[in-house]
Amino acid sequence: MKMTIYILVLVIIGIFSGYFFLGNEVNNLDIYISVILNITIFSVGITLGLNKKIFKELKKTGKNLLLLPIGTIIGSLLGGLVTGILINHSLSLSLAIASGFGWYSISAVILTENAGVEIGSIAFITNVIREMMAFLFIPIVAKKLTPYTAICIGGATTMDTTLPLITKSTNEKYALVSFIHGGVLSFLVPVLVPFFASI
Amino acid sequence: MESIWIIYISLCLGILIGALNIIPKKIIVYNERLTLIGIFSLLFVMGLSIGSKKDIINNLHQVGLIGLMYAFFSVLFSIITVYLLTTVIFRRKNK
Repeated sequence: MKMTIYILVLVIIGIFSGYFFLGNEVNNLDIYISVILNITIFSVGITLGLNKKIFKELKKTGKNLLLLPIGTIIGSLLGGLVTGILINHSLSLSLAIASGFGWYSISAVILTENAGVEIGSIAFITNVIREMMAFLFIPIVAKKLTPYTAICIGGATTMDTTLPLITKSTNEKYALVSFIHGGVLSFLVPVLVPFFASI
Repeated sequence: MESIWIIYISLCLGILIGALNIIPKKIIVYNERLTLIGIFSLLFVMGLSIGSKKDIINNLHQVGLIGLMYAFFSVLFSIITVYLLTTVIFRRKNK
């Protein structure tokens, strides 16, 4: 949650600086941005690759655990499609925005680079809100529905930022479920977002 | 679109290097810092370009509303799908 606030403040400072100090002229920063983006993706890849624990646990606990992330993916993409139809976004863009699964930083920077700053900022706000919804609704949904439905709200964040809350709202048993769920989705964000944006 | 391939190549290279564990632990610590610096600078630049585009600034409330809709429907349909999937499968198992 702390990190989200830092990043929100940073983006707001960026917006103000851009508003007051930059005109509407196009700046030739694009090449630097794509270099930084790919270095960042590379570095994210290293972190994902180091997380071999996810695959080991998946092998041990069986493929049944994959059902949960699959449900979250189908549901999130359906939600994206419905929103896209309601507000007249193209299918590919709405799927790209929805496949951020709450990981706002990576989905926003990939889409800013590949689909323009407007779609990038929508992806940013969408996935920041998804993370906030996770913090708000996980305790309630865990109580009123099932632990699995509580975990799916958090999307990719359930392996780190929302993991403590999920453990607290359900029980220790679901910590591993939540971690694997978030891990699988985190792997898919840098794969699905550019994929949908490019079709 | 060629930029998607560059992204995939960067991602796969990173995953490979991470999975092979060839970087000494001392240096690995800096990887998280690298991610943070990258993400911070990219999001700051995103903020800059949002700010420089007056048409987005004037429609900021609309961007927020669209974001809220995407988040809401994604969460709603995830809950419905996961509820159906898990209860159906577990019921079948109990039989």
